[in-house]
Amino acid sequence: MVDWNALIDEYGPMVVRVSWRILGRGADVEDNVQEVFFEAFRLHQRETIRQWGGLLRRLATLGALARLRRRRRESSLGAITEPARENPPEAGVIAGELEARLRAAVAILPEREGAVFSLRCFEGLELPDIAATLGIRYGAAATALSRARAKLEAVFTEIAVEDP
Amino acid sequence: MDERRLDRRGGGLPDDLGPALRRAVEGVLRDPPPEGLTARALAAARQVESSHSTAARPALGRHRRATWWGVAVAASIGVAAALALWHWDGWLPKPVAVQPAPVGSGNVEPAPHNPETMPDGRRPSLWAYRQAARQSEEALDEALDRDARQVLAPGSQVPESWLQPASVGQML
Repeated sequence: MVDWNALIDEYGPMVVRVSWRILGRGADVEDNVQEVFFEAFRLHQRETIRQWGGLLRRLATLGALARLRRRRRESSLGAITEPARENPPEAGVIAGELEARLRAAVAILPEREGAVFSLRCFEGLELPDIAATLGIRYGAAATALSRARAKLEAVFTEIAVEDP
Repeated sequence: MDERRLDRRGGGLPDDLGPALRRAVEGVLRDPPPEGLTARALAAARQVESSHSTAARPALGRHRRATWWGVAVAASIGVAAALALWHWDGWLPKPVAVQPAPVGSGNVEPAPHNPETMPDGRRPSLWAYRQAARQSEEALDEALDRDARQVLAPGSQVPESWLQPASVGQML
């Protein structure tokens, strides 16, 4: 029998952190965290969970990315995804705007690429751990990371950022 | 996979990120969750266990409603079938109120009786007459005569005119 409160104590902060780094908005994070644990509880009733950490990290990442894509569709964040062409940035682009652009760009990546990039760059996982977390092969994770990075670099190379 | 090891890593950026992308990622990593967000989110997560069991109840309710609908439909079909049988075939016995024979010149005393039952306790019915009529007119006449005799007092004579109508079937 799983002690639900102990599980939340142990892995909850990680789920919040993963959700926050991808979403960057408090209300969305709260919703995502609740959905993650709801889904985890549902899965737990159907089958035995051996790696709670891996499951919760995967659910948090994929859930947050799905929510990020929905948010982008619902709002007019589309304009942010191509800032370089339409609105050449000033020299001092503020950090908050860079983060918003990064999140908007991640939102338009395919799910696997977005998940691999988030786990690699936001969570610092190595490729073998990313592959295990997402349940994919190492080669597939490496390919997804390479493609995601290429796409994001294409978006950000045109943004002039002054070194502090 | 050691989850605690992964959590301790704290995130190491790939070396080959471009400067703009690196700065954006570093900005994301630097920005901590707002004060109280973690506590609120985890408090909501603790309610998942109870809300999950609550969410399961509507499914059970739907199942019960479906069962009751099934019972109601089956009962309706049964009632409709019973009404149809009763209407078309008259399978339910219908009591026939047999009136005492008219007393003529006073030589016949009507026997005390229950108008709904014959003296022998048998209940005459339209169904019985219909069955007799299906067999033959004579059978119907005989059934009617038999019931009429029983209405009268034992030993009394039934007027000849009662027993020999032209055709009882025609009278019906």
